[in-house]
Amino acid sequence: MPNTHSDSAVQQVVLQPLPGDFAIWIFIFAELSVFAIFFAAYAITRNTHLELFNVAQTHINKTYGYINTILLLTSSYCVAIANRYIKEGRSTACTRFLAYAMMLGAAFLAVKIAEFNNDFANGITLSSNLFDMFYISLTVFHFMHVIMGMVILSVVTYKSYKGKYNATEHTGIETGSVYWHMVDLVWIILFSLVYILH
Amino acid sequence: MPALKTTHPKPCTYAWLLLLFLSTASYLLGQDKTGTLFITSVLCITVIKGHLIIRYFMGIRGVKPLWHIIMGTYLAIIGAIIGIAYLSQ
Repeated sequence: MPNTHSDSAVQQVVLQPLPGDFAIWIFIFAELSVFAIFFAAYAITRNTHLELFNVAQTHINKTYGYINTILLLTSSYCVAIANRYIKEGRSTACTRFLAYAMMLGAAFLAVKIAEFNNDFANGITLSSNLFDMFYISLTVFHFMHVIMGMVILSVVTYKSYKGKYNATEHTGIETGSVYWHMVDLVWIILFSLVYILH
Repeated sequence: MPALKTTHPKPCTYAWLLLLFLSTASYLLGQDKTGTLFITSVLCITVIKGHLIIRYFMGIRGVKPLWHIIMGTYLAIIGAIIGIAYLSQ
């Protein structure tokens, strides 16, 4: 009987390995650092051009940002569910949820393109003012990361469809997932900073 | 054939629902609110959302504490820089 207690205690402190390939974490920290510099530059520049930022910020549509936040969070959730399913050996369900995540990612890109069209029609460009320069640069930079994430998810989904992953070997899915969640993490900071805080 | 394990991913689902709620809350706050309390609230919501993504989506929950510290520090530094810049205006 005492052994049962000590066994369960040992099980509770067993730590899991970092999900995915370790190299992707190095890449993610590099990406997060670049975005951190962008965010800091935005916040500090705003402090010295407060009036301009407050006026220019009213020209962007918060609702586009909100819809995209919901789409990206839900896409990330689908990827997390796909990870759970592959660990249970349910590759068909995993592939299905990866496909849902990609569809939501595509919807994010479509909404963002519609938003950019609207912005350009309203005269928002890289050179119109300092806020617009930051807004366009940050969102386009993030947009490119979403495209990169979609490419990675496409490869992972295709390999999952072909049955290349199972309950014991699914590092590829974990690696792709971690990158996709990083894209999501950056967006929630960007959303608060550029669309919400004023 | 052994029966498949059918664990429902509840923690992820709760985290997702909370993320949707917090995003909606900050969107609504951003419509008309302003001032120190508004800035502090939105920043706190953002840090909590980041923590939820890191812990429940990225799968950091069961790994070495060092990774929690690294990711948590990242969020804290970003939050602090934005907070200082916005609250000192």
